[in-house]
Amino acid sequence: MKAGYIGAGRRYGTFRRNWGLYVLLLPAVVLTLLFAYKPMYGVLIAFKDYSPALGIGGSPWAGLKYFEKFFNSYQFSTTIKNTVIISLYSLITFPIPILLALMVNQMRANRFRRFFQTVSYMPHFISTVVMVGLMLILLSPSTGLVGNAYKLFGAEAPDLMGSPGLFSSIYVWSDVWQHVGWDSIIYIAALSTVDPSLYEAATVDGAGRWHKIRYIDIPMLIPTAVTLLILRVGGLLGVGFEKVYLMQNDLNITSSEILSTYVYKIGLLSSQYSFSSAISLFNTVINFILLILVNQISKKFSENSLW
Amino acid sequence: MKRQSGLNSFKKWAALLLAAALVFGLAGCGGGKAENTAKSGTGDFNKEGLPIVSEPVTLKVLTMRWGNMGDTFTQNQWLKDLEQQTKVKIEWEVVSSNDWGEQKSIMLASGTLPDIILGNQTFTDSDIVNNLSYFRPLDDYIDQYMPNLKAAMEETPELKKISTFPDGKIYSLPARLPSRPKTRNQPVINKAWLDQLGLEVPDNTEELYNVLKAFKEQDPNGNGKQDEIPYTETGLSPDFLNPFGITDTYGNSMMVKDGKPVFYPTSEEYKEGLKYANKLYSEGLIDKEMFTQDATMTSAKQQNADVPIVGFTNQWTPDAVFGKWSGEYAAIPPIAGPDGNRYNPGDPNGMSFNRNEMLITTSCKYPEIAARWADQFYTNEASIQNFWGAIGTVIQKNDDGTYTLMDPPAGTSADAWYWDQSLRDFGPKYVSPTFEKNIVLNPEAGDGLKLEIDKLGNEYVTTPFPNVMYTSEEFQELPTLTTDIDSYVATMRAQWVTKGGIDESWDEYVKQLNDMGLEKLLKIRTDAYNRYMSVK
Amino acid sequence: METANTTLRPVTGAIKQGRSDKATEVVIYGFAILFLIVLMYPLYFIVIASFSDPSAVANGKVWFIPRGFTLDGYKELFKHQNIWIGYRNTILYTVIGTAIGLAVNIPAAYALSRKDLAGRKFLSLYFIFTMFFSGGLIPTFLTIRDFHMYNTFLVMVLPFSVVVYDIIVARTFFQTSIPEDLWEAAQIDGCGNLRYFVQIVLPLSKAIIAVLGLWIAVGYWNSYFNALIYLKNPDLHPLQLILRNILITNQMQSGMGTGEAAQIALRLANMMRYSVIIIATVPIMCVYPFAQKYFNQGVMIGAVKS
Repeated sequence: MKAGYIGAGRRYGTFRRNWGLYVLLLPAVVLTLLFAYKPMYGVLIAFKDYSPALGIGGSPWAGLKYFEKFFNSYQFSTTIKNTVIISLYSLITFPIPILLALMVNQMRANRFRRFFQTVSYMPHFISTVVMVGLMLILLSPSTGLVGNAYKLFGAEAPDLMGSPGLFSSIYVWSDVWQHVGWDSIIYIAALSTVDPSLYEAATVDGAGRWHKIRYIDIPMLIPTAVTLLILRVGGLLGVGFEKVYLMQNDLNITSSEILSTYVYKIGLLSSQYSFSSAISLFNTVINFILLILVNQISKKFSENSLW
Repeated sequence: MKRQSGLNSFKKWAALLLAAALVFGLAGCGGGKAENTAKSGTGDFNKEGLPIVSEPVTLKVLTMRWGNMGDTFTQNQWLKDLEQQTKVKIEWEVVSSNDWGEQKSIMLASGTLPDIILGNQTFTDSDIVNNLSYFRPLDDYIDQYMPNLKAAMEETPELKKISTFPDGKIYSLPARLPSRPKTRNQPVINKAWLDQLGLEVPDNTEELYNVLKAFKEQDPNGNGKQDEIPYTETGLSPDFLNPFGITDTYGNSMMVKDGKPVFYPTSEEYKEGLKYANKLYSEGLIDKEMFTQDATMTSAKQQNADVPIVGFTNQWTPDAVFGKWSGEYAAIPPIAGPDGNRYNPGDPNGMSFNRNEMLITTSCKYPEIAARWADQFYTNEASIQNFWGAIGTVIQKNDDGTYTLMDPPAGTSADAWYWDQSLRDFGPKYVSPTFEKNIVLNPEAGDGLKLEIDKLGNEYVTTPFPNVMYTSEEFQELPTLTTDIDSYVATMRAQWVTKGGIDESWDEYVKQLNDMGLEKLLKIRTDAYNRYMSVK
Repeated sequence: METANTTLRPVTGAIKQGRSDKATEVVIYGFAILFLIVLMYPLYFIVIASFSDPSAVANGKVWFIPRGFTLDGYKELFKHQNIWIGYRNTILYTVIGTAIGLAVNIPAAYALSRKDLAGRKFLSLYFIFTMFFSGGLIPTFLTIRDFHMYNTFLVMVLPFSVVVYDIIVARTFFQTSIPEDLWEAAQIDGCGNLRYFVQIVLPLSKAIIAVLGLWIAVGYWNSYFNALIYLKNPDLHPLQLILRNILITNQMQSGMGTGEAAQIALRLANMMRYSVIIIATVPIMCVYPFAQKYFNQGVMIGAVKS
């Protein structure tokens, strides 16, 4: 108790000394309050029988009806399972941009290095619709690259897009292809802040390339990597709908129906405001809990924490 | 998340957490108040004759158009004349179907609705039923201020049937489009290939099988490669199952048999049809990529650059989808099934009825003016001008009392030109069956061609499950039921066609559907059907 | 800049490591070139597809050179005069939005990176909470409308300029790259927080500013959703919204309509599919080399320290 009291006093001291920091925070705090917290009463929609004509305040309460409806729905376990599988699978690819950044950092030919970086980030700009269209063309068993490759050996090409077992692989690896360069940018930037004298000292000590990567580069990347990883886990159930939706077909649907596509389809038939808010609120709460857990773990083992 | 015992407690636990999460952000409660939209004074309303008002009044009208069609239709001379004659000035708000889904929910939530909503795709049944307080019941207005529509409803009772809502009132106005066929899609075959191989037009499923096999094996496009695809679509269309007695006019997996609604994906006929499809698929007569390709790939196959490669399909007309090869394709009579009968999707009353073509909102201060304005659309001449374009620009009125359509400007397709010049599919319309005889269309393209080929199939058109209306309670249940059931039906269909095995897994499939709530779905649809049929 | 940069990199001098280093070099470049091919082919494909007959592309006949060479995709696209208005608007939104975004997020991130900030935990959670919980579209729209920002330029650059993800990343970056004793030293010199931030921290943080700037700019460049919801006036529409409207063809209910106009729209859309990507992305890709300059060069913290 006593220690706490003293602590509070000291905190007030730092508060006064650091007033400048609060000035720096002010714009972000105010904008967040006005445009993120003020509309937040909208979560109530999940607990009401919302009708636009009655407004959020005027719509009758529904309690947990929509949550129960979701938990009891036929697709509940399938969509959750598919979402988690895709999410965990893509989590495995998390280190790839880091490896790419380390590799780029080792390139000494400046021109090549810059060219490489520029090319590697370009696929990020391809829109999802075109990306999926491209995949359909390339993977077509009759006319695509894959189909042609099999034809060379006189074999029948497999129907990759129509195979439920391959769906998550195609989804995840095409994502890696499209975003690995873009995702590595932050790591390359982090590596640029390594004090060059560290490398010089290491060279003098006779350290080789791998040693420098291991003892200088990687420790530099760990805080950023851990932060991004925590955020990634916090998005576990949030697999975006657009790409999955476009890749879906009647043959792969058993493993491609995820939370977000399911909500979308139901909304297409008739606006189900309350039902879809309930699902997304469920989604959010699970994600937030995961974030808290992972952050706790990280705090314990790596001293990195989001708060 | 463990299975079985864990799941139940997990659900409770999750629900509790959600409640806890709510402690945050209970700030203010909002909801828009309706705003006034109509402008200017009372306008001295005239109950009969023109102008409708002595002093000009402005009404805001919202309508949705497809893609980037834009608002060129507002320049239609008939609409301009209407404005002059009625002194009702229209402020058009034209939205694109691309954006409308998101914008709609915001418009409904913010309560700022215009005076009039036009076009049956702008607000759907569920938008209206779930927000009934935004829209005015129109029965009294029809009675008092809409003599044209009233007469039309007496002549064609179908109009009243489709626009009566579950509470017995009419909230939206209907349309009967001119010169419409009875058939929906019809079988279309590559006639040039038949001639090339010296084959007859296939008459039944057995012959169709033989023709498709010949297409596959005998290189009818003559390029020396076996690149012919006898049948392709984006997913197996129910139209392919027509010979087996399966017709799906409105895409709801329902049919009417002996006056009773039936869910056809659990029928024996459906099973037989899929067995046939599986046989064709396994012999390579159906495109291997049918279930995985998108519309772009399908269309590219239909319009393949060097030679045509598609043999058979079901289309509205043969000229629309095949690009430069359209000359090689022709519509044929429905294929007879194993029972010797022919079936064609469509509607014996004609594919001409729509509801929700016009709504008058509660924000509208002058509903009687709006009603009288709307009634002007329900004359024969007004309707054809709103379907194709103004007389003098698109339609030519001949001395003998007939109407013909002019040629579109060079480089423009007829259909695109009509969309440019008129409200086309959208908006209130009524063309009486007797007047229709005066419309003479070019039988070689578009609407005229459809009427021409309609003769091949219209005697075989089956009675569809009608476009019924649901209550808002039913609309709560329907989306989850149909999403689950339709998706499972589509998955199994794809599997049975590509891999076979329908006999082994059929019972399991039916059981699964029942577990998903098929009976509940059928009950909702049967109730709605009975309500629909009981409107007199 | 380039020469300075290379001299800062480790010098491969030690004889002992010569051979294994060469081998590593071969592995790195070999792998890089392989990787480049995998990355570049689809990009190359998009370029040649934009000059090819659309049905040849979708039928898998275009692999190495354009087939049925045509400029129709571009011609058709440039028929839409409003894409120039779109360009202008998008550039304005991107430039101003990025400036505001940096001005809001970077200072907040720095403040949160300071361990001696009282209430740091609360403030961090205050931001992170909004990454997960939001009121949804409708209440947000009503809020914007109540602030009279609906259908204004401002709505595109101000209300959604706080990006919590960016703040967290930048905060981590500040924590690792700005040594704590630097602030101690500055304090002794009588330097306040604001002056320290502007004169010492910012110049040392060009790399993260460049990264965040790039993220925010690309975000603005590619976004259309806010415009779709909050802008009614077509003169304010950004490029992506206009391109989207040109490209997306809703399937009209074929069967109810005659479908011919729909078929034409689909054909035009297929034709423009790839040229749209080129037109929409080339300008923003030109920004990259400028940003790249800042995160490729070593920062001389050592120099500041001494």
